Amino acid sequence: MKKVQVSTADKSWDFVIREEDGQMLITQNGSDHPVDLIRLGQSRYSLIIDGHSHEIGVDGSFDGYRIFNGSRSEKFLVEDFELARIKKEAGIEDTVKQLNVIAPMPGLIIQINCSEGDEVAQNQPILVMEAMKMENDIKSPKTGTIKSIAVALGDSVDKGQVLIEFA
Amino acid sequence: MMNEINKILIANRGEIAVRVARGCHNCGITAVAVYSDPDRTAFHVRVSDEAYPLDGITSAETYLVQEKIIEIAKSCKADAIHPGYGFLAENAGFARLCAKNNIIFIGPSPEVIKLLGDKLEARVAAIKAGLPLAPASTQDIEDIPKAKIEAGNIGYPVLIKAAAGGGGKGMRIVNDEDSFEAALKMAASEAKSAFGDGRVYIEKYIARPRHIEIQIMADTHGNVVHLGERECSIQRRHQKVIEESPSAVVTQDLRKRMGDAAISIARATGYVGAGTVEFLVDEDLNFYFLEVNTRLQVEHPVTEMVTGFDLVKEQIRVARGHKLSFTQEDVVQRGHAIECRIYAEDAAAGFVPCTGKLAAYQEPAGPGVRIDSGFLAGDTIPVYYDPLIAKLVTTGRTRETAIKRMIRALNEYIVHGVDTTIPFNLLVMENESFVSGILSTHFIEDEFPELADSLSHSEEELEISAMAAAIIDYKQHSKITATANKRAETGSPWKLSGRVSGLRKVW
Repeated sequence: MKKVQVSTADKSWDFVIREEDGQMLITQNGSDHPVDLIRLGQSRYSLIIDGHSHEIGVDGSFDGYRIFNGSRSEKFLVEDFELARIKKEAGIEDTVKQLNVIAPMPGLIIQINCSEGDEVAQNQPILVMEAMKMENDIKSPKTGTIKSIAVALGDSVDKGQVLIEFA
Repeated sequence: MMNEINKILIANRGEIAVRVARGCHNCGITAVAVYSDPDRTAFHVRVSDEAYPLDGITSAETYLVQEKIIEIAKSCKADAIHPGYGFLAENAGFARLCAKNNIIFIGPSPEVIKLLGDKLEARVAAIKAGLPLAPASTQDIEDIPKAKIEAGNIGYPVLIKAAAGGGGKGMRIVNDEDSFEAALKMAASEAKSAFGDGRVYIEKYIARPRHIEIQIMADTHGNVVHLGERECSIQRRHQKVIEESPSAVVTQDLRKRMGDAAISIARATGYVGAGTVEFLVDEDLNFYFLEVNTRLQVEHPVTEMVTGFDLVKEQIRVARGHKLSFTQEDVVQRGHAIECRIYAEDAAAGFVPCTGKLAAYQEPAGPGVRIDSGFLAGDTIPVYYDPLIAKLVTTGRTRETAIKRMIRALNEYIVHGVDTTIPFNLLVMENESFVSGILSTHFIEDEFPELADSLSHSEEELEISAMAAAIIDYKQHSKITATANKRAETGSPWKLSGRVSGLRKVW
């Protein structure tokens, strides 16, 4: 049996996972859901929960799991429930919640619309990158305070490079 | 004059190169691919009969280098070059270079490409051919009272535009005569500072236009036909994302008038091959000439699906010097077709390109589904080119059926590894205005002012993904534990192997 906390940047869920007579069960808010997970390939799974069939993809190439479900994806952090509770009490934020702004593609920084110390709202455009012959607005992944801006106007950046760090 | 064509070099990549290769194979023609370094294993290379490297990475180093492409065409003895769309498709210089090297360029003549490629020259040609254009002042404004009369004649709202302009600078929408003078002065001063040229003119402002275009085909024997319309009103950044045929608002009478207009500009300019005449259509169904695209369009499949003609095959017929295989009377639109462009883009973040590896990729199929794609499972979407993955087309006897099939196909489509515009397309297919056929080029801003919110996960969907993360994490950890336990029981297989080989030495 394992009790875990799963979280995104702004949501979290508590689950208990256990196995009974070869049947895996996931419990949320006291109700049990029978689960069957079969691996189809490197990063592809067939998941049946409560008789509902889902095709799931996983990218585990960072601290957590990026789950592809249907045509959408979301990043999740999975932690031991007790550990998550202790960390929260000690005021340590986890990596998904910190969410730095990273370059979604290689390109050129052509505009910076924020300063260090600024309070920004989720989805507020904070940078403009030129890539693929287009100007792309880079939006804030969350509401928060900008700790540092790691790039300057005219910098060319690689995909995945940290552009802005949150406090 | 008949031209022998047995081998065609396709000067393109991605889905259109695959589409053209299929067209070649339908005609029993050898298809030759060219490829940049990142495209060595791309689908268009694998589907073609011959493939030659362009040695380089970016478009500027590869697909746009005319001399390299001509050199390859000559050395592999290709009879013709098909440019697809984009890259060199509307480059008059390239068409001329092909002719100079005795290679057939599949498209209109260099002169026609040049004429129709210049917006002002094309406008003049359209006026001469009698096409309707958005009413505009005949010259730039000098005298304000006179300009006011002219604006009144055109009818408010009007658009004040910079003569030297572009990019929305020096442009003002004026709703009534009272605000005319102030807007005019601002536009002129903005134009002056942006372009060093303060000349402005007035044009009729079409508030909620639809983008409707006519597909034409012309041969070298003087036959010009139109294949009906495509409505491409749903656009982001002036780029089409969803197209359909027929349009929900085009009547038989309007289709004939728009078709005749398209044919008359084709005839007036000596057009040959496949082309598209684009129009803006206002709320009263008046149509105004926009421009002519002298190539095969991205959205050509919707026309193919409702008319039954293979446009690439017809292009090849025309290039061979044959007559078109059909006449205007043979063109009948049957049923309805819709195309959704599937881009590797995050629509919620403002359609930002997302590149990466297609960890899982499975296309939909079944009744009424056609898919033209440029990628296979395991492929990487390179950062250097257009992020279009595929065009998903569904058909049905009615628009309603085509939409329902599109929703089904989009839900069936599996793409893991990169974000795509599939959720965006689903959002549009399920939108009431779209379903009712109420469209304009402002559709996305009008219907989804907060697109990111509209695209956010449903609670249930997110919860399933969270559960999946928990279960996959659990399985991975129990596997690690199980392996560790097994090792503790039997000892490390490496140690065992070491011992066995050690024993061998003694023996």
